[in-house]
Formats: sequence, structure tokens, C-alpha cells
Amino acid sequence: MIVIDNGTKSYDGSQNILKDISFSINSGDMIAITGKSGSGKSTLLNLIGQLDTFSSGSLFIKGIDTAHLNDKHRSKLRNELFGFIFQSYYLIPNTSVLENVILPLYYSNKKISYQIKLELVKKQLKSVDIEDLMYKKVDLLSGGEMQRVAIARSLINNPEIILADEPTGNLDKYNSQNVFDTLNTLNKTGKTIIIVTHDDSLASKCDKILRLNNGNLEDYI
Amino acid sequence: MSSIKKLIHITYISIESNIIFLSFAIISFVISYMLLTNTTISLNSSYINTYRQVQNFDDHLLILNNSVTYDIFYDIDSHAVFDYSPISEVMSNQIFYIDNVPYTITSNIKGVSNLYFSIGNPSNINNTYSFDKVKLLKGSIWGDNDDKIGSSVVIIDEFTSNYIYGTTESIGMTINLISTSGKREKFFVCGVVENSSTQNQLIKDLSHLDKNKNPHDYVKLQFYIPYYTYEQFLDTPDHLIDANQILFYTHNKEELSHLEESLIHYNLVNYVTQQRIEDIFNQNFKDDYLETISFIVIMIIISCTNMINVTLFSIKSRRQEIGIRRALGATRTNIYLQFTFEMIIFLLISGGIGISLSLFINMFQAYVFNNSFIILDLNSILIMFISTIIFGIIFGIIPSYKASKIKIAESLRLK
Repeated sequence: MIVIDNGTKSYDGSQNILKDISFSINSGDMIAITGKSGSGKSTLLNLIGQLDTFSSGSLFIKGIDTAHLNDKHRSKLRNELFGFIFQSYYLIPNTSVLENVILPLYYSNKKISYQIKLELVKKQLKSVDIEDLMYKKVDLLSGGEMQRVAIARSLINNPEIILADEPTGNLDKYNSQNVFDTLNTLNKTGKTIIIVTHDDSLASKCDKILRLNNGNLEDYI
Repeated sequence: MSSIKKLIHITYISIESNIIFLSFAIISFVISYMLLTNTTISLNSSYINTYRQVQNFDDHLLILNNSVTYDIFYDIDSHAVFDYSPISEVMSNQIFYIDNVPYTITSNIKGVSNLYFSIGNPSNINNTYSFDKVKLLKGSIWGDNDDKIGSSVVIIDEFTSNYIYGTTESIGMTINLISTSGKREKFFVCGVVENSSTQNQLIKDLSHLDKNKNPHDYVKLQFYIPYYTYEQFLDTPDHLIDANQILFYTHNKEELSHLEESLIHYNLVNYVTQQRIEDIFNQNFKDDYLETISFIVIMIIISCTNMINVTLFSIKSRRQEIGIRRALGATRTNIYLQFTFEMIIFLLISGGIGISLSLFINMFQAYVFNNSFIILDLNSILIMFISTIIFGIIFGIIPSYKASKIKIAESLRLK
């Protein structure tokens, strides 16, 4: 599903953050990307999620060479193929849970009415058990609730691949377990999950672990 | 349609999420609009008031000379009656000045507030236009010979005769005028004419002012003397040559041209007709108009620069939000449209508030100070409003474009 071939990333021609990385991810995999701080984990996740582009090398997603995609196509991939979950949640402040979760639907090309959008939001919120928070401002939520909103938002367009960057980094043990369970459940429904984490215990629960060391691919088991 | 709905929803969420910050932007735009509206109102008011002043010239002449303003009444009935004397000076000192040359009035013409002279045309003595429409009650109009030799004869009107002599039977009576240079002249009354309509109107109008006072105390005594006599009496006929200009206005175009001819013939004054005033005004207006437009354009550009700054600052502080939106699938076009749409909404809201506030303040000011100088010209305000929105959109291109070019991964790393 995802194939990276000699992927290298550097900013402004400085030292390479990722060096000649090559690996592939199959559909339905649950992969943990681990490594020390600054090893390039988040950068790799951003590159896979089309938030950034490789300086050299190639990235194929579902057989498509992403190097030649224009902004519209990249945006479509981000909107429909990928669901993003971030450590800092990245919710839009001062807005409600509903407004945050519905946003990817507005950027989608699917022509669906507001009522259907609303139903989809309700469904997703229900799946993460925060249906009653729909009209609450996100600023008033706890960390765990915020992350569940972020998960609901990432799932609203029913993406095939979930990209989670330290999803449990700001959560307590209980909420971390909840988030992992949710991701695990999603994986079982056939979604590909890619998690960036420091947490070895979390990584060990994934199907595969991709270990980065100073921009190099150390292990992929 | 659905795209617009989407855009509205997205922008709504965007504004809602930045409501506090954007309130400052709106306040800033409101102030810009208020400044623009006030400038437009004051420029329009200045123009329209000037125009009104031009339009309000009414049946009289003004001589502007050495910063002294003289009123010269043009009596349509008798065509050629001038009053050169500044009324206030005559009233207070019994001295009147003609181009800074003082003249006194003899005591037997007590209460004279104004002195009238008629102008005859020596090159065409038979032209008796001066008294064509005046009805002679007693005596006679002076003859051609009187005009030629400058006889000291005077024609007075009914009111003047009654005022000085208590009767209209004043033929052969004398009136003395003495100039400060010592020249003394005795005038023989050769005719009494009916009051002019101007005189009658004046008596009628002034009688309403103070009912306890005799209206005759206010009105002008009228003396008509031959032009040559008038020249001799005043030592020199050139005294008016120094006059800078006469602003002339009358509804009676025929009489106007008649008088103009006379004035040109004697090279008495440089004169300006109402038409000329309008021409000058129109030319000035064109200059002012260009100046006004330039000023408003500069103001709009300043406001728009302000808008650009606010929007650029807004974008800088909203980079992470833009990154989140891009991560969720927003295209560059989506971001561009969102910011442009936001800009339009801000301009509409702040335009509405700013213009309304400004209008309200101006109307309130006009009401409190009873100031007719404030003129609310809605057309120009509307043009300004629309042009500002157009300018705003044009000037919004740069910030919106910058917003759309923000790198997602970098913006998400921002704390």
C-alpha cells in the first residue's frame, strides 16, 4: 500500500533528517515508528501523510508516485485516504466538537447535505463515546476527551490509513490505553495504522516496529 | 451554491475560532471606515456649501477691494443705481468711504445711510435707459445738456422726498453734499420719482423687524444724479479702477448685459458675472474634485495597507490553524478563498459599523451645533464603500496568497 524507496529528506540542503530510507507498508498493518528524539519519526509520518515531500527518493501510495501529485491531489489524499491524530490534538480552539469533527467533510469533494454530515459526526462521536459533547467548546474538554475528538475527526471521512503522532504522549495511563484500544479496534476493521511513539510498551503491541536512528532505518521487524 | 455554503461554514468556523483576535481587526477596519466617511463628508460638505454660496448671489453686486467688501445694489427698476458706501461706516460715523476716500454727508440729509448715483452714458446721451421704467411723479428727468455739463441736479424718490422735506413737493429744493477734501456741492431737486419696487419691498420687509420703530429709519434714501455730475463731484471717475472685481448677479439677463456694457465702456471696474463665477467655480470644482478623489484614494490605500498588515499579522498568528486545515484536506485554493471571504466579511461588517457610526456622529454634531455645513452625501459614501471592498479584495490577494503557501509540516510544529 505504501512503498518508500531511497527516501531522503533534508531542509534547505542542510544535514539529512532521513537518509535513504526504503520500506513498505501493507494494507491492514499496524506499525509503530520508534526512535530517539530527533531521529526523524515525525518527519517520516508527515512525509507519508503528504504533509511534506521527500527531497529525493520516491513514495508510492496505492501504486501512485506521489512526487508528481499536485496540491489538489495531495489534499484529496490527506482528506480521504489519511486520518491524522496528533499528540497536541490540533483541535481548532474556540469552536465546538461538532465544528472540529465536521471540518474534513467540508474539504471533501463528496456532495452530501448538512444533515448527513451531522449524522456522520454523531456516529463518529458515538464510536469514541463522546456523543454528548457534540456542542461543547473544545477548550473545555479534558486531554482524553480532546484526543477522542481528534480521533473522531480523523475517522470522519472513513480513511484507510490512520497516522498517529505520539497519540498518547499527553495522556494518562487510562486514556492512553483507551486510545490504543480504539486504534487497535480500527486496525481490526482493516484500517492501516501507523503510530509514532516513544512508548516501547505501546510499540510492542503493534504488528511491526520501524526503528529509526539518526535518520537511518535501523530495524523494521 | 453548495461551494458557497461550504465556504460560509468554513469561514464561520474560522472567524469563531479567532473571534477575539479578529475583533481587533474589525475595530481597526471600523476606524479606517470612519476616517474615510468623515473625510468624504467633509470634502462633500465643503464643495456643496461653496456651491450654495455661489448660487445664493441674489440681485446684487459685490465689489471686493482692499479687503473691504462693498455692497452694490442693482435696482432692476431704475437699472443703473449704485450704492458704493459701506453701510455700517455711514451709519456709525456719518462718513462714507469710496475706495478709502472719506466723504461726509451734510446735516440736512440726516439719517442717510446710503448714497445712490445714476450712471448715464455720455457717448449716447439719448440713451435714457436709467429711468425708462421709473414713473416720474414731479418735475422732470434731467436733460441731455445736464448730463453733458454735469449739472448739479438730483432726482429723488418719493420716500426720500417725504423723509427729508415732509412732502413730495420738493422740486427746486437743495441737497448739499460735502467731501472731506472740502468740495461742496449743492444739488437742486429736479424730479421726484415713484419708489422703486426694491425700496417698497425694503420698507415692507423691515417693518416686520421692529414694530416700534419707523421702518423709514431703516431704508435707503435714494438720489439719482447725472453721471458727469457724479464724476465731478467725486473728483475722479477712476476711483473704481482700483476695485479688484465686481461679483455681479441678477436674474435679469438683459439688464445685466446693459450694465456690463456701461461698466466696460467706462473701464470702471473689472467685473465678474454670475456666469463667470460659475465658470470659475466649475473649474475650481474640477480641481477640487480631482483633489478629493486623490485624497480619498490615498485614504483607501492607507486603510487597505492597514488591512493588509492586520491580515498578515492574523495569518502569522494563525499559521498552526492553517496547518491543521491543510492536514485535514484543505487545498491552497480553500485557504485562499477562506481568507479572501473573511476579508470581505470584515469589510462589510466594519464598513457597516464604521459608516453608520460616522454618519450618526456627523448627524448628531449637525443637530447639536445646528451646523448646515455637514452634508451627508450618501452616493459618494456608497461609492467609497464599494470601492473599499474592491480595493480590500485586491489588497487581500497578497495575504491570502501567503496564507495558502504556508508549509504544513512547519506550521504544525509551531507551538
